[in-house]
Amino acid sequence: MKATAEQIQLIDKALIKIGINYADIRCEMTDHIAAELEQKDERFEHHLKGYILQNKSELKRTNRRFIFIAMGRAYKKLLVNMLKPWSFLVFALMFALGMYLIQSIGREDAVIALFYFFIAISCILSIPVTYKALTKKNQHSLDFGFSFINIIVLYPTIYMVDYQTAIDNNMMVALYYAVVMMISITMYVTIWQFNKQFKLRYNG
Amino acid sequence: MYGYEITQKVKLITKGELNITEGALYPALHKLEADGLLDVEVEKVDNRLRKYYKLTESGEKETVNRLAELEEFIKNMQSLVTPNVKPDLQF
Repeated sequence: MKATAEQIQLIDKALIKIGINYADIRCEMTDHIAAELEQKDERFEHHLKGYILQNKSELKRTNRRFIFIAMGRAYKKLLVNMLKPWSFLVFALMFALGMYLIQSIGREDAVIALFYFFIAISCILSIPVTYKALTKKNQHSLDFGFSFINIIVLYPTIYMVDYQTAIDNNMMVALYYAVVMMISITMYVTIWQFNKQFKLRYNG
Repeated sequence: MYGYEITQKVKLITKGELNITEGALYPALHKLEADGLLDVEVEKVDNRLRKYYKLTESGEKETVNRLAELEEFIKNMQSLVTPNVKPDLQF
């Protein structure tokens, strides 16, 4: 017996119900469960309920392991991208912009300007990610790892505004913003690359 | 090959002696994919998407190396469990 489109939907919904939210993980699990249930008799829903009940904790555990593996993969790719020449170009441009602002409008105003510039760029770049998180559409396992980097970069930046206006080191201020901007921009380029790969793989 | 197919093939080859659960198989496949040892292709089959895995070039090399390592390990284990009895020590 081959599973119908409706039956595949039922498996997908059952997996969402137990917390398997990422599309790529669900797609693979759905295929496995469908292949297993196709070997049984016509009572599809009955067997599906039995399968989920019997394997619920195993499925959840596998889901967590998938997410951790994806996290490792995401960070590895991010690191590779950070070592690429265009990433260094972003760093150099941001550093030059920081130094120019400090020289022209003074350190205090430059820190505020650079901070708002960082927030604006981060907000613009994170629109697609936020949209996906809110609509819960096409989220893939690699999205999870990147949400941490956002917090890691954002929190010290907010915290350091007061400190940076007080310290007497222009280069440190420009260097800090060059680093955080490079991390943010590289991260969003990496997310974009992964999204493109996922679209090609799952929708193409 | 896809995940379910792998579990069935292993069961068939080992005559049911080895039963790989999905909890063991899929994370291992994902890890190998992340390490660049497996290549992935997704196709729509029977109303659903199916992920096919195949070895990359480096995956094939790694398989040869790992099998050689395993063979060596088994040889060592065998010589430990059943050491050659020295003739001069025999009664």
